[in-house]
Amino acid sequence: MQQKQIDKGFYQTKVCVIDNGTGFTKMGWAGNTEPQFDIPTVVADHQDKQKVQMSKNTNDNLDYYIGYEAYDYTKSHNIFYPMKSGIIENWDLMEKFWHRSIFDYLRAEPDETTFILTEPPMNPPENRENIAEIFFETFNAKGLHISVQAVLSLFSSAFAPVNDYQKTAGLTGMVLDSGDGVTHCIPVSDGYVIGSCIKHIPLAGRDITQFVQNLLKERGENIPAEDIKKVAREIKEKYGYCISDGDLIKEFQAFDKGEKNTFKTYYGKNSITKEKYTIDVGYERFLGPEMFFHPEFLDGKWRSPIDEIIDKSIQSSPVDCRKKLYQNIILSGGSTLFEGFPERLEQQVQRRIDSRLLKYAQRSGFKPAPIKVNVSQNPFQRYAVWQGGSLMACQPQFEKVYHTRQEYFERGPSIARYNAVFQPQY
Amino acid sequence: MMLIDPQNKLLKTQIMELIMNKQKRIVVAKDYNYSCTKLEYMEDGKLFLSFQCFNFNEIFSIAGNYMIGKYYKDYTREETENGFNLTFSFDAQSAKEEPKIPKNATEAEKAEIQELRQQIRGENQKLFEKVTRDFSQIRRNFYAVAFEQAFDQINKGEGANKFKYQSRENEVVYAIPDKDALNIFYEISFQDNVDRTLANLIITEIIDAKKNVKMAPPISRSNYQSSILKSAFPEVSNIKVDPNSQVITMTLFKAQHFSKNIEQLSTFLQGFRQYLHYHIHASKTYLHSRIIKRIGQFQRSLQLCQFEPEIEKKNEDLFTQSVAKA
Repeated sequence: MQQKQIDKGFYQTKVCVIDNGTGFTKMGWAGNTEPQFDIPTVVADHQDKQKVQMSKNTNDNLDYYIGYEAYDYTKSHNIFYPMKSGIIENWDLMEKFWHRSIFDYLRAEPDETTFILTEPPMNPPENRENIAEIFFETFNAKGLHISVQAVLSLFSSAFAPVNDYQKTAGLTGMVLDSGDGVTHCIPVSDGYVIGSCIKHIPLAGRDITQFVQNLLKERGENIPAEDIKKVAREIKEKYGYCISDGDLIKEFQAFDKGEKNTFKTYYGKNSITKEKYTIDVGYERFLGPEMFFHPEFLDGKWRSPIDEIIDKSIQSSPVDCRKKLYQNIILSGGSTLFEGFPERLEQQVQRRIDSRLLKYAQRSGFKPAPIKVNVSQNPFQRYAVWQGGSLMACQPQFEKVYHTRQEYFERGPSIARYNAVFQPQY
Repeated sequence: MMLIDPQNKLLKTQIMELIMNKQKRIVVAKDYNYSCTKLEYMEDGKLFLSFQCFNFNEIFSIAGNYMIGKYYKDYTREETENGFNLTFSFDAQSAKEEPKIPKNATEAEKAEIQELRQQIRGENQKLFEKVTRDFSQIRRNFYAVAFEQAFDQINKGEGANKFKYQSRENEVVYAIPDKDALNIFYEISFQDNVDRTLANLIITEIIDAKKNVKMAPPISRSNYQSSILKSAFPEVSNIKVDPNSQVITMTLFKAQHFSKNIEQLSTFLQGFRQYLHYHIHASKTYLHSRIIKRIGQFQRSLQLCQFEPEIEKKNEDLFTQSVAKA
């Protein structure tokens, strides 16, 4: 019988982008501007739980849940977080997470789908091999490409340049990626991460939430214990902002004077009793995001502000790319979305450069050309990494760079150690 | 999760979001069988759904109009969008508007208006949920209506027509109706050896499970030499059989299986291949994690191993009783 062939037009090419983060996983079909799913990277499984009488209609191996669904089963299942600081720690659970993501959420047939996965910088090559083994052996994926998150953020910003520098920057820039678990400063030159110059701070969104939560508790706000984490997170996301000039005393005084738009009111509902309540939101609005510039507020071990870390990272990079790195600092991740954050960061980094150049001019008598710092926000900043993957999948060169199943079975998992980088074509 | 959800979760979340946020946006979602759905929310409040899949025309010719009559009669069929085969639209502004409470209203009037608002909100919610359900199930509806139509016709005693369609590149589904039964022949093909082996095991389990299920439909392995199949579709005699595929047949009887709930049954029938595929990969995930654990154990055992020290062998000469070192 004459079999019909599949016409692989644009709508037939199937590429899925899965950005697994410590806190949240963003996934969806390439070609879209935003991920279709943004779910917590959590698995509710009954490993290590005492065996209870299960219904005969359930299969133990399929009796697990991921994402927001997992939190509904805290009583019957254990909650696990398979990733820490961006690195996969529990491979079994991560495989289950991917299985459910592919078949239940994305409804992809892996035999016909190419996957773009993301990895943090300095991810061990063995982890890439493990990912390739899982995707090609277990899922029979058609193709796989593993990209560094910072490079994808740059890819995304290259398509939505907000200033002249970005238009010519391509894949060269300094990426400040602050998510839920960890904050990275990653210099990238022509699509290649300068690994030796990466700096990281293990403080990020989760810590700010915890800090806000502690402030609310200390003030004695009337919040139900089961909701306090959720309330703290919502207050952080909705009301958090960065002080424009860094003057904390002035900001405290503005609050104490009761100037307009300082104190806010949060309206909440008890998740169990459904009783409504209101709480005041005060200093935590600016103290939480201030963590970036005063990390000692959260953890006494960390004293270097983010602008100093970015500056050190760029100064340790090769001298020929430093200017471009200063001119293209891009923000990525949900924790960089605070109001006023880009302007404050730009101001602080500019101050550092200007004072260094001034000192140099005073010592040498030679006045160097000024360096303009640009910190830019992507309109899709929260999902910049995912969007970069989606845009990359639409590039004509992508078909030539991803690893195919055939290559995997010919050469083995080591093919995944190297993933090609290419410049975006507009 | 034992069964595949008939509703596409992606579409379900996106449709509600598009209607509530009222922002002009496009979302493209892929699904099984090379199907693709595009949602577009326009500024005038219209939500467009476009759908395309592999071998659309052949499958649509079987029960396409039945599908539109049953599931999409409340929506407007629009000019087909470029790159797609079917386009419907829903006007979100057809939802009732909630009345505003005037400033000088009395308490009684306010309470009455509030109650009316709650009622309208409830009705609108039901409307949006219906739209979400209908649009997110487009793929399921498209593939299931062929079976639903056949079941309907047999239930009414009208006599259903036999049909076949190619669901994937190497797979064909045949349905041969009888007076009060429907014989279905599935051709299922998996390229990978391991997938094929696991599919065989799962199908054997399905066939054996009838001992534990009341009124189980007869399911068995078949081939293109089946007399029922040959008599209904004589062209199968000349088919070049793909070594990677196998034919499974099931017979569903009106009295036991499809006199009542044909929707649920059709959902399973159209998703049979995806059901197998899901469980094959779930089994592989399980096997893979077991293998990795076992390899870890072997490696740990290997690390504990110690090599025996080399012993110098001494050769004793029996005749002279002198020892010479080797």
